[in-house]
Amino acid sequence: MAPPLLSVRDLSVRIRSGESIVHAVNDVSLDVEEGEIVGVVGESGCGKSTMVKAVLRLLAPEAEVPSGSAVLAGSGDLLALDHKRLRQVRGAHVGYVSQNPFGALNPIYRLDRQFHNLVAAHRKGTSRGESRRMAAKMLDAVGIAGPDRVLDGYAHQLSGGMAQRVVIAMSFLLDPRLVIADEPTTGLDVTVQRQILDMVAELARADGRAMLLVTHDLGVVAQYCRRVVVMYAGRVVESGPVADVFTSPRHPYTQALLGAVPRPGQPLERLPGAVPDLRVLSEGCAFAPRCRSAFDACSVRPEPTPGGDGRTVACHLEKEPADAAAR
Amino acid sequence: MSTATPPETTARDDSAVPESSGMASRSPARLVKLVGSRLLFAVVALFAVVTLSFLLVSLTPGDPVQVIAGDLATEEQLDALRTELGLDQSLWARYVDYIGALLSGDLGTSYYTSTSVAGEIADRLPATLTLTVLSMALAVIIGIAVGAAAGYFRSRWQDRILNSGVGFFQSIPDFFLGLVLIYAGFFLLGWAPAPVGQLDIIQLPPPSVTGFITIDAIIAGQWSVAASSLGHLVLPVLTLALVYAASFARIARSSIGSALNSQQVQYARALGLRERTVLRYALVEARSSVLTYGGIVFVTLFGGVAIVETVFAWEGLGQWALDGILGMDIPVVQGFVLVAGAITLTVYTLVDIAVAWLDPRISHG
Amino acid sequence: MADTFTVGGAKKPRWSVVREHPSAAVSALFILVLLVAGTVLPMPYDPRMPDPFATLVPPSAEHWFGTDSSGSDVFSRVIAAAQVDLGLALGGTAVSLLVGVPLGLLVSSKGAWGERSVRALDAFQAFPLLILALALVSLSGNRMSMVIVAIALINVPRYMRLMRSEILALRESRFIEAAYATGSSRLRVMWRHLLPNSLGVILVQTSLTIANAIVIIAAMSFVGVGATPPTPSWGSMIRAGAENMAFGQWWVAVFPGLFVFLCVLCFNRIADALGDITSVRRN
Repeated sequence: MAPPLLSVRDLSVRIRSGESIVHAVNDVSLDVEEGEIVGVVGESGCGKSTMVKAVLRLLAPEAEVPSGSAVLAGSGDLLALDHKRLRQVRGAHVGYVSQNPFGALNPIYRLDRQFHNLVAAHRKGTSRGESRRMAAKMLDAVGIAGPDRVLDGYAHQLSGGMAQRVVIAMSFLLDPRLVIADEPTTGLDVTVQRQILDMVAELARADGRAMLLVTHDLGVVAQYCRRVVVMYAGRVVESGPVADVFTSPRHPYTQALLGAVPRPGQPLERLPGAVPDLRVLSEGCAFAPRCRSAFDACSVRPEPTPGGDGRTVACHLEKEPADAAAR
Repeated sequence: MSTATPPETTARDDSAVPESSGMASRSPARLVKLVGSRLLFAVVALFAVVTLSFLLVSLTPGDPVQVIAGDLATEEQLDALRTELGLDQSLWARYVDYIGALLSGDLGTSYYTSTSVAGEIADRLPATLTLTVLSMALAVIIGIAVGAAAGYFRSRWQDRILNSGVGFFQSIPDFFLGLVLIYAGFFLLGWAPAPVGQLDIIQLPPPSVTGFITIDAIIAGQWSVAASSLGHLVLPVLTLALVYAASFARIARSSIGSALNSQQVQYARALGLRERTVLRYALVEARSSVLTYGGIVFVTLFGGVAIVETVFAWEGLGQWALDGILGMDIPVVQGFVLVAGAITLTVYTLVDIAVAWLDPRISHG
Repeated sequence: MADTFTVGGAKKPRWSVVREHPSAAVSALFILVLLVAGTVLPMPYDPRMPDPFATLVPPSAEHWFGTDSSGSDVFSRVIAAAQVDLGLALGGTAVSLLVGVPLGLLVSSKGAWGERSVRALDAFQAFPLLILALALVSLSGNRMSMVIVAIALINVPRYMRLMRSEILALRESRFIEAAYATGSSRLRVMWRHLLPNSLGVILVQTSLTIANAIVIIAAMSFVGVGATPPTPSWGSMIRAGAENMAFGQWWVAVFPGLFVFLCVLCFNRIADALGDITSVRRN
C-alpha cells in the first residue's frame, strides 16, 4: 500500500496565555490517503482548528509545537521544512480554506490582484491575463456567475457565501493534492452553510482530491467523508471509517456526540459537566469526569489502540470491557 | 475622525450573483461628498475654536491692563490704557470687532510690541514648521520601524526590549530630554552648537526669500550659514523626534502587530504568497490607522512645541505664544490658537480624505 | 491549584496581584512614599532656605543631590516638591474623573444628540490644549486652583470620548440587551451594569491621566506658570537648573527631572498592570 498523502504523528501544541500554558493539542496522529476526504469532528475548543493550523504552521506567535511531525508525501515533514520550501508547498500542494471568509481576503486590494499574487507566487512570470483567466474559470467552477465583475471588485462588496466561494476558488486554484478546510462555514448564514459544504466536498470528490475537513456538522461528515477523526480535549479519542464509527461508536464520547444529534422521535441526550481545563495536563483520561462508564483504570490515560478493522479507540473499555461491566 | 466599519461577519444571502451590477465601478461622487462634508466641518470647527478661545481668554479672571501697566500705574493711566486697547467695551462689541477684523485678515496688534499679529505669525511660522515637520518625519521613521519590528516579534525578547525603550521615552517630558541632550551634546561631547537660536549669535540670517533660514541660505549661496542652521536643528529635532516616536511606535506596534497576525495575513501565508507580499498585505491593512494616528501626533507636536522652543531659544511661533501668555498679550494668544487650530483642522481633514481615498471600503462602498 | 487560574474565573488571593505585577507594586509604593515623605520624614535642610555660602555644590554626602544657584538643598526641594506636584496632579485628575465620567455617560445616549456632542468634542481636539491650559492659569493671575481647572479642561473630553466608545461597545453585548429586555430602567442599567463594567478602562485612563497631568504641571511651572518659586516644584527647579546644564552643573535640573520621569513611569506601569488585571477579570 502506498504511504498516506498526509501523515500526522504525535502532534502537540502549547499556547502561552499570560502566566499559564494551554495544552491545546496533545499527541494527535492521523492519516489522509490520496483522494480521500477525512472529517475531523469535536466540540468547539477541542483543538481541531489548532491542530490543522499547526500542520500548516499558521499558529500565532504565542503557540509552540513541542513535538510531532506532519509528512506530506513527496514534500517531507511540513513542520521541519525551511521557510522557502514551506512557502512553495502551501497554496500549491496544500490548499487551505479558512473559517471566516471576510477576514481571509485582503480588504484593500481588488480580488483580481489577489488572485494574481497567488499565481505569481508559485508560477513565476505568469501574466495578469493568464492568472485572470485561471481565476475566472475557477470562480465559475465554485458557482459564481459573472466572475469578471467579482474580480474587479473588493472583498467587502461580496456577500458571506460569495466571499467563501472566492476563498475556496483560491484554495483550489493551483490544483493542490490536499485541501485543508477549517470549518469553512463558520459565521455564514445557516441556509448557506450546507450549500457551501456540499459544493466544497463535491468539488474535492469530483477531482479525486484529498481533503481534511474540520467541521461540527456530522451530517456532512456522514455524507462525504470516508473516514472520521473524533477529538476531545486536544486528543484523538476515536477514528475509523465513517460508516462504522457512526453506526457503532465505541468511545463513550463519540457515543455522546452522536447522541446529541437531534433525531425525530428520540429524546436529545445531554452530556453532563464541562470541557476540561486545558491549562492542566491531566494524568488520566480527560473525558473520565463526564463519562458514565468511567472506572478506576481511567485515572491512567488510555493510549489510542488500533483494532484490526481500521478503527482506533483510546479507551480502557476496549481492553477491559468485562471489568467495566462487572462494576 | 472617521473609521472604516468592517463588513458584517455574517452574511444574509447567497444568491451567488453580485448584489449590485455596478459593484466594480468607481464612485467618485462618494469621495466628493465626503471631502465636502469634511471641509464644511473644518470651517465650522475653526469658527468654534476662535469663538471659544475668545471667550476663554476674555472671561478668565485677571486683568491684562493691570499687568501691562504695572503695579505703580494710576487709575487714570489704567483707564487710558483700557480705552486704547478697546477693553472698555462690552464683551459682545469686542467679539463682533474681533470676528469682523478676522474676516478681513486682521488678527490685531500685540499689546506690547504694537506689531501686527499676522505679520509676526508670518515671520515665525517657518521656524516652527521646520522644527515640527523635520521632527515629525524622523519620529515617523523611527516610530514605524520600531513599531513594525516590535509587532513582528510580538511577545518575544526583541519586542520586550523595544517596548521598554518606548516606555522610557514616553515617560520623559520633552523639555527635560532637551536639557539632557544639551548637556550631553553641547557640554560633554561638544559636537552640538550652543543651544541658543537657529544660528550662531555672530551669524547674520540670510536675506529672506521663503522665510525658511536653511533654504534661504542655500538660495543665497551662504553654505556655512546653511550648515550652521542644520547643526542648530539637530538637538531640538532629536528631542521632539524621540519623544513623539515613542508614542507613534506604540500605535504602530499594535496596529501593524495585529495586522501581521490578522486572518487575511494568515491566509496569505497559507496560500504560500511571498513573504514580501504578505508584509505588504499587512502594511496596507494597518496604514489607515497609522495615518490617522500620525495626524494626531503631528497636531499634538505642533501644539506642544512651545516649551521645547523655549529650551533652545528657538524664537518660533510657540515661544512667541508663550511669551504672549506670560505677558497677558491676548491678541498674541488668540493668534496662536487660530494658527494651531487651522493647522490641526487642515491636517485632520487631509488625513480623513486620504484614509477614505486609500480604503476601498469607504471609497467603493 | 489554589493560586492558579480556575476556569470559572474565581477570585484569586489578593497577594497574587502584587506577585504578578511586581513593577506596578513597586511603583505604587514609590508614589506613596513620595506623597508622605515631605511631611513624615525629617528633611536634611529647609527646602525654602537659600544658603549663599553653599551655591552650586555638586552632589556629596552633605548635599545628596547638590545645591542650586541660590544654595538651596536640591534633595530637600525635590522631596518637598513631590507633594505640590503630585497633589495638583491628583486633584486635577479627580476633577476630570468626577466631571468627565458623568458627562461621558450623558453623551453616550443613542441618537442625534450624542452624535452632535461628539462632533463638538472633535472640534475641541483642534485646540492647542497645552497652550490653552497655560493661558488659563497665567491670565487668571497664576492661581493654583486654576491649574486643577486646566488639567480638567484637557482631560474631561478624553474621559467623555472614552466613556462613549466603551458604553456604545457594551450596549451591543448580550447581558445589557438582557437587562433592557427584562425591563430594567435606563438609569438602573447605567448604574448597575454599564458603569461597573467600564470600571477597568476608567481605572486605566485615570492612571494615564495622572501621568499626563504630572508632565503638564511640570511643563507649566517650567515656563513660570502655576507653582512658581518660592513654592518648590519640579518644573520650576528644572527651569532654574536649565542654564546650569550648558555649563556642566547637571544636578540642579537632572534630579527634579528624574523624579518627574520616575513618577510618569510609575503611573504608566500601574496603568499597564490595571489593564492586565481588568482584562483578565473580564475574560
